[in-house]
Amino acid sequence: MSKFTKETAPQKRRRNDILLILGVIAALVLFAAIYFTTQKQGEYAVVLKNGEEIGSYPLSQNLTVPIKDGDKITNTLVIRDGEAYMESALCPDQICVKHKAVSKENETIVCLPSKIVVKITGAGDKGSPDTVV
Amino acid sequence: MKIKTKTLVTLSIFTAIALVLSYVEALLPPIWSAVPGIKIGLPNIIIVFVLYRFSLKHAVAVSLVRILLNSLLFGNAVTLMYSLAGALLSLAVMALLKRIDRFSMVGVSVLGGVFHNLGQILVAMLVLETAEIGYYMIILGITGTVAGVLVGLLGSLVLKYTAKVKF
Repeated sequence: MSKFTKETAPQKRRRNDILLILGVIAALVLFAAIYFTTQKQGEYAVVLKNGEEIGSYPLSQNLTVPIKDGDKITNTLVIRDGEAYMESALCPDQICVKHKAVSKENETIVCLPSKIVVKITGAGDKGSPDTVV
Repeated sequence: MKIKTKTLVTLSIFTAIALVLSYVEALLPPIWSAVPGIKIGLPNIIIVFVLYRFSLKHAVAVSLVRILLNSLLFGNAVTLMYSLAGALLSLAVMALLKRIDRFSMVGVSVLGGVFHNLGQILVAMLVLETAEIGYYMIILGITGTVAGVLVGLLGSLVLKYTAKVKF
């Protein structure tokens, strides 16, 4: 018999295999967790009305932003703990109010009746070259 | 590297088998077209087998010739680059893990599969000059693990049934 057929403690090898696979999965989960928590964290909540920017607010501050259509406040955007959400809206469907809080780059909250889009952007989009994301 | 004629012929046959396996794999429909790069990696059965039955040097030789021929026949310069990066990183990791001698062929092949995909993603990052595709690694890491288990099991079978064959 050649040395290739001799298996030293196959059960132990199988156990090590399973530990290795679990280790790989753990590493991937860790990578995914780091990726989704850090890399895409947004810096600003940009408010767009009819596709045009009407305001930009840093997520680092706690703010309550009234969004006006003329003199009427149509929506109220709240930024708290690095997340932005729509606290209230005049529209009947309330889809934007029910939308989960956004904080990651390129996430959006859309309010169709008042044509408001809240979009999260990164630091790079504000043209501050020294900011490390 | 001094090589016996018989070994040369045997390795050539394995290279041919690996080449046919890459062709067969190319004929199969993509598993998930939204994420390119998900495949079992059938030729790796041969590569892992050669790594175990012969040596790292032989496995590198078979792998390089297989990739070169495959790119010439069915691919282009870009596929050549991706294939080389994946295959060489994968082989290096597998040789290291085999040397540690604590895992079966399945474990060795799993890490080989994961690093195969990692190598290709690193090349893609360099080519596309973006780190945005890093999240691909999460998907390809899982599929690479599954593919590695399959390749390892099949490779073990080949090793088992050729145990009495003198190459």
